[in-house]
Amino acid sequence: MKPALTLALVFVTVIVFSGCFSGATDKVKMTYGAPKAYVTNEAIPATTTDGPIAYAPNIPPLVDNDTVAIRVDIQHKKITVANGVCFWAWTFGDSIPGPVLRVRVGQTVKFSMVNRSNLTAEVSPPMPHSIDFHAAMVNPHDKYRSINPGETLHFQWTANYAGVFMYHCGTPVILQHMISGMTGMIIVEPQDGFPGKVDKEFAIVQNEFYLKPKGDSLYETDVASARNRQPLYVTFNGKSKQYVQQPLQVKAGDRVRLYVLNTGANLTSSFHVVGTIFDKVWIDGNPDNEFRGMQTVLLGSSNGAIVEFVVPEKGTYVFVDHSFASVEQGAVGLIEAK
Amino acid sequence: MKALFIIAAIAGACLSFQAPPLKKATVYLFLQSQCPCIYNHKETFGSLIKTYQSKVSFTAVFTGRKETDKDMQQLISDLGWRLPYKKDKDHTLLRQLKPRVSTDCVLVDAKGKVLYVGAIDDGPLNMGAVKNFYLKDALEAYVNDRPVRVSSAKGIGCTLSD
Ligand SMILES: [Cu+2]
Repeated sequence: MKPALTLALVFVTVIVFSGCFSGATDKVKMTYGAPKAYVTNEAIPATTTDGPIAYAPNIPPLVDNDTVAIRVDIQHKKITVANGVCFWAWTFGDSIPGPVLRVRVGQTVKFSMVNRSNLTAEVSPPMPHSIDFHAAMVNPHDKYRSINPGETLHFQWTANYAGVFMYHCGTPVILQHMISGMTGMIIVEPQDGFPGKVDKEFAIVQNEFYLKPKGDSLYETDVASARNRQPLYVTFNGKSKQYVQQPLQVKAGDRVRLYVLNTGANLTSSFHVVGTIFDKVWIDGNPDNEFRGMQTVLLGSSNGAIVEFVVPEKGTYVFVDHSFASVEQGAVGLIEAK
Repeated sequence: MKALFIIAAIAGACLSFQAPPLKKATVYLFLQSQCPCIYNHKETFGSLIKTYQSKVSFTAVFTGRKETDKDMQQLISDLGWRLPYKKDKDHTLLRQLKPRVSTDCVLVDAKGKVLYVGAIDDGPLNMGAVKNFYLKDALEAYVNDRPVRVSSAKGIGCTLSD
């Protein structure tokens, strides 16, 4: 073979292979940092959220703009964790976990947050809170600052990486704020959307509840048991065994995509669906991190994943944290295929 | 009669030899039993108590009207401090000393003059890294008879009301 031809073949091969190995992430123009955050003292809005949000297992629509405005307020609110078990939680929006947010790579999120703890404090006194977006690349000291009751925080950030990310309150003592309910999921879609088509998609957020009885059905957070990593409940989307009572509905043959996030605050999740195999797993929700044919995905505290599977036939499929103590503590649900 | 006079004189002399108890300066630490913010200062405030307690009194003050003795004692015990506490349910100290939030402390000298009011330090505002040891600096100045340079600083804590 002539040297010139050999060289050309090598060149073509390199081009082809580098194309194969460069993921969507490599094509993104990264945006680092953002303008300084600021705090205002305006009238507290009537609703606790604004912009495209949904509560898990639902997923909000994507806003197809270069910017998206999202407001998620903080409140102190009584939350039910299991039958006959409630406690005064600290929440983003109206629930534990906080609302699911959805943005796209390259999109600038214009975020605001009112600390409404002065309006709704019952057991806990009004107190400072904050928000830390794992999906953002900004100066945490500035954007993730704590704001006082009644204040509104404003900052923006631009999404660089696709994935399933956690957000949480970062006000010290962080463990106390996290076990009081201040965690949630944000989905960042690749610029061209997640590859492939699916028939159904759901958001599943796993977390632990560390509670002790306070009287009747009222409980309170228990930092001591949190430090000992001994939860009373481990739940999917904030309520013990809720999808056993009300299974997620799919059809036989459906390709299902689950956005899974373990918000901890302490333990890992061994997420598994009985009766199927994960055709694709994107670790931390980024399609560049793809695994095939997995039985279980291991999520450390604050890890996310997207799992896709085909529902092989009619039946009831159980999803669990395959660390079985967690199942007994509530981390079990059903997917019903008709 | 003369003997009685002598006894009275001796007793009077003894009494006059007994120095009046020295009034110490006091650090009032304002707390809410349901507010976790004070855990940010568990070690730092605990060591301030140990270092300065021979020269300065330390007292916790709870302003919440619904707070119980059990809750207050539980918090202090969880923090691992030997610290007496006062209940300020009528908010006399709150109005007089003007702390902004729980975890704020007030250093009052022996004559009742407020030398410092505010945060123990700025750790919670700096992701745990303390850059300004406000209360320690104020105490150090006081015990060395120097003026307190920073007399107030903003802290992070819960609203001090009911
Ligand atoms: Cu918080």
